[in-house]
Order: sequence, then C-alpha cells, then structure tokens
Amino acid sequence: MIIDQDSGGFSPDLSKFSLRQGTGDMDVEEVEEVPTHLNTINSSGGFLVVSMDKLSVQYTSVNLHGHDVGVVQANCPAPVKRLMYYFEIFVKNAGAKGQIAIGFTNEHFKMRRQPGWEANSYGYHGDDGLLYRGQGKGETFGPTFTSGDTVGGGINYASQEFFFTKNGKLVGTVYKDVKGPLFPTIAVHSQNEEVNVNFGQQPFVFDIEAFTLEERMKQQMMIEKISLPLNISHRIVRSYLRHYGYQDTLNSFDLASRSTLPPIPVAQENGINEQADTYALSHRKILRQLIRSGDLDSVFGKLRDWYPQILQNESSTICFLLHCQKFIELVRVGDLENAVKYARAELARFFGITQLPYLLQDCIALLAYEEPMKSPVGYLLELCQRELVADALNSMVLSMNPSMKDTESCLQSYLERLLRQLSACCFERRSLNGDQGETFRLHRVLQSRKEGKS
Amino acid sequence: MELDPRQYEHIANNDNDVRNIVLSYLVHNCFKETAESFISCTGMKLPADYPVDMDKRKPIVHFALEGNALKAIELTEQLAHNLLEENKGLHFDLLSLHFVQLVCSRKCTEALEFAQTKLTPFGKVHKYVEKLEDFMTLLAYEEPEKSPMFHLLSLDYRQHVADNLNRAILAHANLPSYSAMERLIQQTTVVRQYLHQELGKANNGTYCVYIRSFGVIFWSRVQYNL
Repeated sequence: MIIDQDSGGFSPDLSKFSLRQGTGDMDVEEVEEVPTHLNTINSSGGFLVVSMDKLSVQYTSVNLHGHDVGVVQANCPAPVKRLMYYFEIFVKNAGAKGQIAIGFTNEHFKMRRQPGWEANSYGYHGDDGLLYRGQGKGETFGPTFTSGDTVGGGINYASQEFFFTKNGKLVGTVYKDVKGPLFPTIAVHSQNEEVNVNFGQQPFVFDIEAFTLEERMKQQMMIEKISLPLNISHRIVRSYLRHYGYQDTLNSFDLASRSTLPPIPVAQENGINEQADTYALSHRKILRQLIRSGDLDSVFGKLRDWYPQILQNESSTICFLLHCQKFIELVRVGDLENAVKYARAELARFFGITQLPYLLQDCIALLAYEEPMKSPVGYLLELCQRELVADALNSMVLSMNPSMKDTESCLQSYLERLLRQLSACCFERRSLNGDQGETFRLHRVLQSRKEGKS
Repeated sequence: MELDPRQYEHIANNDNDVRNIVLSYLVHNCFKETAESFISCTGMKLPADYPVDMDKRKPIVHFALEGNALKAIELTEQLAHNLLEENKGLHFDLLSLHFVQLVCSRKCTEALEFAQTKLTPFGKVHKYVEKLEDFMTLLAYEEPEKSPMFHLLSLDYRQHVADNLNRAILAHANLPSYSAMERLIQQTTVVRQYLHQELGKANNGTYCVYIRSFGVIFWSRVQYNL
C-alpha cells in the first residue's frame, strides 16, 4: 500500500494520474536495425569476394579443406521485436561442388567454417540438403539445392524456431536453442560458386506475409477456443460503471439487463467487492458532473459538506488538481484578472512541493497566450483534463470508504487491472523467449480488430 | 521469479481504449440506451464503426431466444438479405428452434410436417444428417423432456443459436463478431495459462500465489482451483 505523504495517511497515490495524458498511440518503440547488406569487414576475406553492392558473393579460393569456407554475415543481426524475420539467397552458380549454405550464426562465429559446423550456428546446406546445428554431423532436413534455386532462411520468434524454404515452399523447421542475437549468414565453398542475397529490397519468392498470417491465425485460434465464465463481461462492465460513478449509465444498464433473456442477475457476486464499488455512488456521480460542467466552486462546496477530510490538507495532490482545474476554467472563459488572482491565492504555494510540477508550469503558461487553446499547453483546456481530475477525485472519495481494504482498487477498475495484467503477462511471456517477438500493445490490438474484423 | 506489480505501474492504459472496450460489449449485446448514456457521460468520441442498427438486431436476437424462430428469420431476411443463405448451418439451427417449439406445444403432426418440408432438405448435406436425427428423436417420445435429446429444448440451446445469429448479423455488416472485451479476456487467459505452465514447472506453482495478489481474484478462483 502506498502512503501519500501529502495527506499524512492512507490514501491513493494520485501522482499516477500524471501518466494518463492524452489520447493516441503511446508506444514510441525504438526502431530496430535491419540487415540490408553483407558485412565485408569480418567476412572470410581470403576465400570470397563480395560485390560492390554488397549483395552477392563469389568463391575465389580453391576448396582444399574444411577451414577455407567463404562465409559472410549480414551487416547486423536479425531484428527481434517482431513475429518473424526472413531473407533469401539466389544460387547464381553452384560451381564445382554446390557447397552453398544459408543460415544464422552468432557474432563469435569462426569465419572460415560453414554455418552449422560450429556451436551457436545453424545452416541448411545445398550439397546434401542436411541441416547442421553445431555439430559436425548434419541431420536430414530437406532437398539439396543448386543453380537457379532460391532458398530462404527465417526465424519464427513466436515458436522460437528457424524455418527454411526452397523456391517458395517451406522445407522445414528446427528449434532455436540460441537466444542471443543472430546474423543472417551465407557461405560458398567451391570454385565458381556465386550467390545473390535479398534482405527484403526485392520481393521474396516465398510468401512470407501469408506464412506470418498463418502463425498469427494459430495464436488467434488458441485465444478463440477459450470459453469464458458466464456473464463475466457483464460483471466487468458493471464494475467499471460503478467504479467511475457513471450512475445514469449504470441504471440504464441494470434496467436493460432485467429484460434480457435469461435475466442477468445483479445480485451479490463472488469476489467482486460490490460494496466498495457502490460506495457513495450518487455523490461521485454528482461530483463528476460538476467537474465536467466546469463548476469547480460547487465541487468545493459539496466536498466541504460531504467529505471535508479530502480538503483538510491544503497541500495535498487532490487539492492541487482541483485548484488547477478551477484556474483552467477561469482561463477558459477569458477571466484572466481573476485567474491571476486565483493563481496567487491558491496555486503559488504549490511551487516546489507538488508531485506534478509540469502541471503547475503548464497552467501558469496558459496566461501567456492570446489563444490558449491553440498553444502547446492547450491540452489543459480539453475535456480529457476534466476527466482526469474527475477520476482523481473519484478515487479519493472511494478511498474514504471505511470498509475499503486496498488503495489499488480505488485507482483503477477491474477492467483496467485486467488489462494491465494482460500487458504484464505478455511482457513476461516475451521475456521467457529472451525478449523476442512482438510486444503487446493494447491500442494496436484494438486497431487491428477493426481491420481484421475478428 | 519476480513479477512485482510495481514494475508494471508504468503500463498506463489509454483511457479511450478502455472505454472503447466497455462500449464494444454494450454494442455487441444491443444495449443501445446504455451505450448512448455511456458515450455522453464519458464525453468519449464515437468510434468509426459504431453500429446504427442495434434497434433492429436486438428484437431479432430476442425472438430467437424466446424460441419464436420464424419471426427471427423474417426480420433477419429484412435486415440482412442473403445472410441465411450464406449461413446454412445457422438457418438450420433457427428452423430447428421452431420445430422444437412445435414439439413442446405437443403439435406433433405439425412438427412432423414442418420437419419434412423444412428440415429434411438439409439432410442432403452429410453434416446435417446427425443433427436431423437428433431432432427427430424428440418426436418419438411422449414426453420429449425425458428423451436423451432434452438439451435441445433448453434455454442454453436457444442461447447458443441466438448468439450465433447475433454474430452472423454483425459479421454480415462487416463488424467484429466478438466483442473486444471477450477477446481480451480470452487472451489474458491464454497468456496466464502459458505462464502458469512454464513458470509453474520451475517454481512448483508458487507463481500462482503472485497472480492472485495482482488482482482479479474472483476470476483466478474460478479458473485455477489451486
């Protein structure tokens, strides 16, 4: 439980509300580097030559033994924050012995050996169609490949497998033990062998889009199979409405539920703390309506009547939020003279002590603009700012409930905790996979539903 | 294994997303007035794919639930032309509801006639034959409630058909046939089960204790009898 030092007691930590700003997609993910060409710096220089555009190789040596392989890696490892990675090679000339390989190796790979012949490397070899993964001996895997063939290698992060393709068809998969960064790797080993590589600059022969979609569908199928406890969605929605004090909506919902078939029982439910959620429902509804209409004076009035304890500590975060909002409302109607007076009387004392300094700064900044709505701090005049303050006050009132057991339930409804749990579990699942694979982003999931209509 | 909830406090949910999820439930189940009240109480933006025909979809589903299948079929034809032709399985299920209603009202000759004209044509396709047989069994008993196929008379069965009808109408209108709410709950279950398996192996199930403390207690009691 978090003790809010402001009010010197047991109350929800309202500084959380500073995080809930704005709408729109909040994930600014770092863009990962993607392989684009072959690495000429650490390739086995003596044995091969890489073309000017760094997208093809030719074996230049005379294949005498197992340590003169012309192997080259891509310029950077395969990106991991996605469902799959894939690249292809085209065998221009299989040369004397067709000892071409495609695969993945780590950064410490001995650049004279075929991928797969050393630990932490995997290679699909054209001369024997075997898959090598760290031992000298290969395993039966697929067909051989030679001049004119297009062979692809990929990583499926969801299943943690490598997969290889030949001329547009899937050859097979193998489990990926290595969890660290892996470089797409190609190798040539006999006279005149020549290979072109495609890192996605050209369309692939294999339909990687369809393959990725298949994998997504598999995951989707697993989700769709789950049967839900009866009426669980109904209970969650009800709890959401109660939590935020949307009493009118709740009444409408209960009325409609009575006439559904079968009627959904609104009785005491196992586990959801009905009492906590219904506490002071009508008060919370009124307070929310007042804030939404911009009537902060009435809000203060009601609080003095109903919950004077909330206003007791004049330096508390909730007082700060309410005073800021009143200030904002004065600016909104253009009453700048009173706004300044109010700031001096009620906001100035928060300088240096508030947990939300950005808010104080931005509020005062509103005074600097002729058209505050169009300024960089114009967001304060939007509806969502009012909602934010209303939600914070809602949490405070809920925390006044003498039978309340934890502050966490004051701050978020069950639905939101469920969603956070979903994010956390997806995060955890991903970390079990060595932090590979797609990240879970709720907004993205909701958007793709609109497109996929599932 | 540490899964301290405080590590995930920075996971902020976008309020609009959360409200859209609530709205998706209301809209899916035709709570039109509630949805309108919710939108105005929260001041949220109307989503682009907000359906306009909840008024029409609701009575259709309601009739199906009551067992008045013919009315449901009639209204479906009006609202979504071709839908039943494209969903033969659903069409069969709806007709079977009417058949069941006749059986329950002991109108056996009517039921038989109805079955012969409307249901048996489906029998040409193999997958309906078994279903057909199940329904015909009801006729063989004086008290169909006591037959082995009694579940076909139940509200559960009607609910199942009504649900499918609702989903089909939504799909026909190019809307998601499962609410975001349902899908997210399902997804949470899948991930939790996965973690339970993977981590439980390592920690002899101590992970489950953590899951409880993170919230949603009512649900984990239902799901995992630990």
